[in-house]
Amino acid sequence: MDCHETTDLLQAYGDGELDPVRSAALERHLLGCTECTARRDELTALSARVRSEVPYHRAPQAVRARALSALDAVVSAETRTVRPRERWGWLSGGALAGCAATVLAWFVGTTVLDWQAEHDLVTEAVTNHTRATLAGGSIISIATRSPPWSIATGCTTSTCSSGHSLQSLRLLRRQVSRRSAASTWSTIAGPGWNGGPCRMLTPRC
Amino acid sequence: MKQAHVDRTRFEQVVLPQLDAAYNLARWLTHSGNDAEDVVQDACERALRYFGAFHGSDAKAWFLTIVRHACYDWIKRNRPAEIAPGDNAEAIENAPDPAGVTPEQAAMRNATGSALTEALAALPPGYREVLILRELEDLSYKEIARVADIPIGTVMSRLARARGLLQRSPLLQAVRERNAGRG
Repeated sequence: MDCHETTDLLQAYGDGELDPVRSAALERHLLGCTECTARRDELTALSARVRSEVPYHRAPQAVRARALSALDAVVSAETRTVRPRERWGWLSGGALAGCAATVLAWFVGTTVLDWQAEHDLVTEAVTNHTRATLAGGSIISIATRSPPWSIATGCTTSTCSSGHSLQSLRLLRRQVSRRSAASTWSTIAGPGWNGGPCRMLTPRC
Repeated sequence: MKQAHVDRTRFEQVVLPQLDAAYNLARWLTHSGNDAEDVVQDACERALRYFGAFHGSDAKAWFLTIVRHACYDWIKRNRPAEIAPGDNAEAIENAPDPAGVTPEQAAMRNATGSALTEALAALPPGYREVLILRELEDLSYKEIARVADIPIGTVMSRLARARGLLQRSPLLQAVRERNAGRG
């Protein structure tokens, strides 16, 4: 490290901003260079003088008081503006909860009613089927409800004991509700139904 | 402008401990105690506005940046002649030493009587501020760069220039000559 390089780095060295590697190199140079050492001493002395002689102006109490009052003003203004918003927040939250409760109640209610209706339909179908079975086996038309719930069903006395399973009848209802009345025949008389113990709406019934 | 939510306790912990540094910088830049009080008040109000955006740990550099901006805004409004046009790095480097001495400066001279203090007060603001931040606030180059909004290389060159100006200051020279005459 030469004098030119050292001059550039002396300030950073004095300010403690030089990395350890270059600090060590600079110190080695200073050991053998009186000019650079004198420059280093000048900088150190100036820094020490500024730190000891130049007054440090501490904040008067008034500055602290004014800062605190500015803080108070902002915090109280926030309290005034935030509180109503929080109140509205509670209100809107309550409204939201009310809506959710209404939707839930409607959903549960319709599900229960739907289940009830289905249950009634199936019960009616089973009753009619049983009646048909007891009556002797010809095609019995059961009009349970007005369309699309009109279900024509029946069975042969030879193959069916009274009481189709509820599952079968539910399936029947779903098929009827999904398809048109015209296709009901083929659906019901399809292989799945023919293969079971109950044959519904078949000509031989 | 929407007011950011201010956590009172956090603000007290972050900003209030920096009031001495804030006032010292404002006092050295405005040369006046009363003006420094107004500037610090303005800086506190700005800090309250921007406090929501402060997430770092270097509270001193953050607040001093605000104080410095408040200082220069105040000087622009009240003593525009002290600020070099443009307020950029080049303008500060080329700024002449203020020839006239304000009443505040004169009052400070009488109060302290230190030639070094006078010489420092007479430095152009761009040099004065880096020296104050380095020697009186003990900020690192990186922190000074942040506060003064200049690159670290510029911090180093301004510090070197400020120290050179101080050492060659006519005020200090006069004291040296007087002392030499007495000797």
